[in-house]
Amino acid sequence: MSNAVEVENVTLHFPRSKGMIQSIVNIFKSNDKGGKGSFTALDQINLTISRGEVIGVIGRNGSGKSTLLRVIAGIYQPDQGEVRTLAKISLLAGVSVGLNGNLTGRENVHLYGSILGNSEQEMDSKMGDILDFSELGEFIEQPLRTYSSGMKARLGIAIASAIEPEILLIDEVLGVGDPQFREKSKARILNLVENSGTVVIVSHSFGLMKEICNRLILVNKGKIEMIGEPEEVIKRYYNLEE
Amino acid sequence: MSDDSLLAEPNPKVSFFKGPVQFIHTFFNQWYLIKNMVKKTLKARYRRAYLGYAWTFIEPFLLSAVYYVLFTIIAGQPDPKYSLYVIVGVIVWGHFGRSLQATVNSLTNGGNLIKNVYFPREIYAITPVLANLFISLLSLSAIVPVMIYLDVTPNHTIWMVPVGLLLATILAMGVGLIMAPINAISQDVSHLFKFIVRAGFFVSPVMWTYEMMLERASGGWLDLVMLNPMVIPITLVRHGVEGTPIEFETLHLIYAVSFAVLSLLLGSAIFKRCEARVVKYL
Repeated sequence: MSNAVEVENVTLHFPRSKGMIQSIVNIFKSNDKGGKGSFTALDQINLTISRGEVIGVIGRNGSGKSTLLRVIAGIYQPDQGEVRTLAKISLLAGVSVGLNGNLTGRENVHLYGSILGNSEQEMDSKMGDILDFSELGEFIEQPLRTYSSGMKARLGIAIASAIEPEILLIDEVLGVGDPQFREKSKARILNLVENSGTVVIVSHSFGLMKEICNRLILVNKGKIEMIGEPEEVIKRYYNLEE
Repeated sequence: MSDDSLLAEPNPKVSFFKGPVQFIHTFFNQWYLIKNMVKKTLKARYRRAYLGYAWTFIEPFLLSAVYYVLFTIIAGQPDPKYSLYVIVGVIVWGHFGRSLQATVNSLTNGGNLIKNVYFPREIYAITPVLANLFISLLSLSAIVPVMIYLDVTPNHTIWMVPVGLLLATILAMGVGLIMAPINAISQDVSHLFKFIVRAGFFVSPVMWTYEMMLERASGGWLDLVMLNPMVIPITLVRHGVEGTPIEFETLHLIYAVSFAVLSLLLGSAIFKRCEARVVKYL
């Protein structure tokens, strides 16, 4: 089976309290060695994800789950090592990230859609489906700042889930809106998961992860603690030392 | 050929010399995204204003009226066109200053978006500058009534208006791009440039004109004044509006144009080289 994501020896340091001069020197250097005054968020991560796999990432708060997802998405460039992925890759992190209060719902569909990497034709053809799913009715022509938070979430999910990436990265976007909509959006995201080639999902809802993931990755203190069958990895999670 | 050859780095390191090429590539290939981002910037500017975009006309128009009363009627400036000179200077300098600050702050203002979605970061710099250009062009059209009142008609030298504006834009973006990554590390840069834009107002021909300066300065002093790369862009726009020809010393012209172009080349190279590494400082 061919690979969708290859993470090779990736290390990423976050600056904590470096001086300005040192920081400027570091951004021009080809590899940042970290060291004093920085915090190692990812430490020599090696990971290969095959096409068609659904992989879950679990770990305590601050263990590096989201950072790993962002390195795969290209948001952070690793200080050492290399990440290689298929070309069409989308990260969903929070449902209102790409939305803007001053634009109307319809304008937001174009804005968020283009931010997620879609073309104008794609968004035009998806407009009807997005309007249906978001249940906004004539509110779609109103500025987003007049929306309730539930309406914003509905629009966000509707746009985000209309994309068709080769690799889909999801960071805790499940569980917004009222219970009815939560069910509906969960179904829609599961549908998206099924249709996307490859999925990496960060979540704390282990029930869901067991249901949909082929493998789980346990991340602890910036290192991969374990990769394997969901059941076993979750068991290991509960046995992690404090 | 194995399938693995399709894999590529999501945000590859860009070599120093490829930076400018990447900028042009993004500009033409991400037009849909850029268009939507510009729209967002423009809408944010006039949110909750009934007159909205009309303010881009109203503001410079009222300002010209104030200058006319102030300089021509109260201060008794003999040249009736002086208020027109000032308003053109204010618009061009304002365009430069806003574009410069927007580019310096392009990474830091990316905020939530930059940490949660990846698209080529140069879009954060291109967007506010395009929005500014749009607003400045509207503002310039607001001086038409003033020109009619003062009986000023542009002629074939009108080409100097877009050229001057473009030169100011290139300069602002170039200098801003050089500074944007450093600003992401320390926002002192942003404060410094706020000051530079304020102080630059006085050493650039906004309240004075190139001709006024020529009467007083020559030789070394003239060269010193011309070290400011904004003297030529503002003067070009001013003469284009007024419909009068202008000649600069060749050396001064070469200096101003190459200052702008080189800073844009250097700026886009530095920006592309650093943007991926500075995001973690945001």
